[in-house]
Amino acid sequence: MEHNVVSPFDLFWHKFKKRRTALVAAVFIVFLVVVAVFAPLFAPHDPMTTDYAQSMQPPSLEHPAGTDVYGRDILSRIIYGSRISLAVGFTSVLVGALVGVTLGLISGFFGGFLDGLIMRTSDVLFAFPGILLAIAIVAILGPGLVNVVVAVSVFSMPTFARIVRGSTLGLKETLYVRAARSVGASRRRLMFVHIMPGTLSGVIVYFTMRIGTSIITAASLSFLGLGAQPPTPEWGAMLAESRDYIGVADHMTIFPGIAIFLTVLFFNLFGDGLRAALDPKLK
Amino acid sequence: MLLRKTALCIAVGLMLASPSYAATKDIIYASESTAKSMDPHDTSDTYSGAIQRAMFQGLLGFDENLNVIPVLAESYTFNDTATEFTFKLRKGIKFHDGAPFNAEAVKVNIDRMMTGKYKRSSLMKPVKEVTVVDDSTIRFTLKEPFGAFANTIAHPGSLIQSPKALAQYGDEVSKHPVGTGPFIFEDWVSGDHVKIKKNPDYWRGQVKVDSITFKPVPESGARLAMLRAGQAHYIYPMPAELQQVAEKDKNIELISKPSIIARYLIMNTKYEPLADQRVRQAINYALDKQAIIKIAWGGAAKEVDSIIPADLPFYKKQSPWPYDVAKAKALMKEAGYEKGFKVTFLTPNASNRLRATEMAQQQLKEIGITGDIQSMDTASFYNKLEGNKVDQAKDLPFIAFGGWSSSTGDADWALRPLVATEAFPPAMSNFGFFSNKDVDGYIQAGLASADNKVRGEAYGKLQDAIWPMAPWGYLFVDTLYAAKVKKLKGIYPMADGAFSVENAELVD
Repeated sequence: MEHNVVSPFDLFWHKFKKRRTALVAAVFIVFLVVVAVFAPLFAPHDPMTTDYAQSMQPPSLEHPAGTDVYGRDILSRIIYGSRISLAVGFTSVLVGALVGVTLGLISGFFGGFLDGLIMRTSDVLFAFPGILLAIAIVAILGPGLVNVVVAVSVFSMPTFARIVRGSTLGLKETLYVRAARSVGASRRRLMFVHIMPGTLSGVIVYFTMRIGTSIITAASLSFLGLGAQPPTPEWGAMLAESRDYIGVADHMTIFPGIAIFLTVLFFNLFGDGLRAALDPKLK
Repeated sequence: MLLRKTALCIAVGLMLASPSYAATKDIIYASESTAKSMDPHDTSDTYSGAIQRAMFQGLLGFDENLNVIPVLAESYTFNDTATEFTFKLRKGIKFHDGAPFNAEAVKVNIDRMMTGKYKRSSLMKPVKEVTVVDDSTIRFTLKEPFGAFANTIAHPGSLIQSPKALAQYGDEVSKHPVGTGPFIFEDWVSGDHVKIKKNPDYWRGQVKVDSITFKPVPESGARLAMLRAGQAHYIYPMPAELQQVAEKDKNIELISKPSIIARYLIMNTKYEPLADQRVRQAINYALDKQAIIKIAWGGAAKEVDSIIPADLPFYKKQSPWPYDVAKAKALMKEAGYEKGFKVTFLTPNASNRLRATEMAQQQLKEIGITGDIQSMDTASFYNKLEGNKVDQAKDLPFIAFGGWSSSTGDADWALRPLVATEAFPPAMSNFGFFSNKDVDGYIQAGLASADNKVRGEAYGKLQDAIWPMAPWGYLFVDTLYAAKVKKLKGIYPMADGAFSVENAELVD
């Protein structure tokens, strides 16, 4: 006997696959993750090995993206750099999301003083442009990738908190939550089992979009010398190292630039696709 | 209707045709460095000193080739033993604030330096007393003979400030510079720019430009872009790696000149592994100087072959340290550091220095010396090094990218502030806390004599002795490289990395 039940996933997939760009983006992201995980298999050279005799060679068969000023293979550095960018992007948003979602739930569920405190604190953080806040945090903590993760997490938190608080306010008045409350479910159970799942679609969309922003923020901080320190093969740091040679050896800036551009673009397109598929208000 | 059209055409034509007579002649000088202070007596960086030179003057100064020339003094004489220097001063000169320039004003300045409180106080260390003979004559009595004293007086640290300003502002003169020079201070926004304007009452006659703005632009590509876009008239240093781009631009003229700017890796010799001479020698063998010159410096440098640059007096050539990793590894093993050790690489964030440091990091990794790079703006970099104390130095595992130009144009100033025991920070710039009795002795011997033969001998011995001690990772001497728009004339770089702007003019 066959039940003709449409699962939520089928529904999502049906809507999602209609957006070609989002599909392409998803494929690219999967590809990028595979490349990052298996970087040593994909990279034609060691990303750290210098060869001064090969300084600033234009793209060739041996070095498809050319070499940098120290004669290192740029393609290999971009491939290894994808590990850093993805890891920093994902980790910082994950931390931001975990803290932000929890705060948002508390804020929306309890209301009153806690709500005021959390939301006003968020407002203060919102008042700073993202990159400026990140620079300020790194300036306090000192340069380095870990501190970049902290900085990006901090400025992701308030948005997650606000999204979740909004949904929580609506969900806590729904019939099923009131039913659960009437049979004596604990507050923790109400928050995390009954309310939180309902807020997740918004969180997932924002999460995906935010990864793109985080990658570009981390690259910007590294470009400014506040993030990854040399000789780490980080995309932003690679741009910083090659900017002196614009006009003389353009391939050194173009390829890391393309890597950042495509990654951020595809994460945003993917996030767009997710929103279209998950948002009940969009047809 | 036709008439109106014609009138309009004529009006537009006139507007287009009329030359801009009213245009002010403001020059923008873009440099990699940031100004640190406007108090000449308390300045140790070349860039601030060079800006000060446009506002202040000394009794003596330098011409383009670092020859000593009289400026505020008309002439000077010294006795046979070179212990008494008498300066005849020019008359009728006034400071920017109206205070008269005279022997008393000079004495106020020298007495201030002799208090020992300032970064350039050490220049006046040989002086026993300074006497006002009459209103336009001043006499320096020295503790011991010192032949290079004229160079000391010509050094930018000995520039003369207005006694009125010194009385009014005290040490705040670092923000209120008042001198006798061709330019008057206008404003200084820390970290952004210093602006100076024409002194209408300049004693040699007005300069030909209205103002000069000194802007720090640490990024070399941006500096050249500013020059090409007309946002700067003169840039120093011109990024050697972008020479091809600059050569194609018809409005730009490149200037190159050998310098006396030495570049080296400062090693903290109080930190245990680096205290071992063999480790420091290993570092010198492990550094591929030619590669660093070619890649980090765009080829605009020459490998050093003594602790002082070849264009300084008393230079004595040594045999260069070959690039030999095997030998370096053997020395590391002999010293008991086969497995290497960790350091922090400090560098100013100007891109060529960062590259040189990064290359040093790559090369030293080969012999097991590993560590992160910390780059910061020039002012913070020197503040950090100047803040280190000798009694805590053994806990500071750093190698820093250093540079020095002897602004007196003499060997003493290329050595004493950098390797003498008395020069530990904050007194002077021996940031690696290098200390050796023989070296101190030779420095004293060179300082104590007026006889060039005796001095030459002392400095020769010093160079022979210190070269194998490897207080630094020896690197190279810069080739000066500047660029300017063609219509700017009269600004020229000096061999010590400073510059002269007194004769600047914009021609069409």
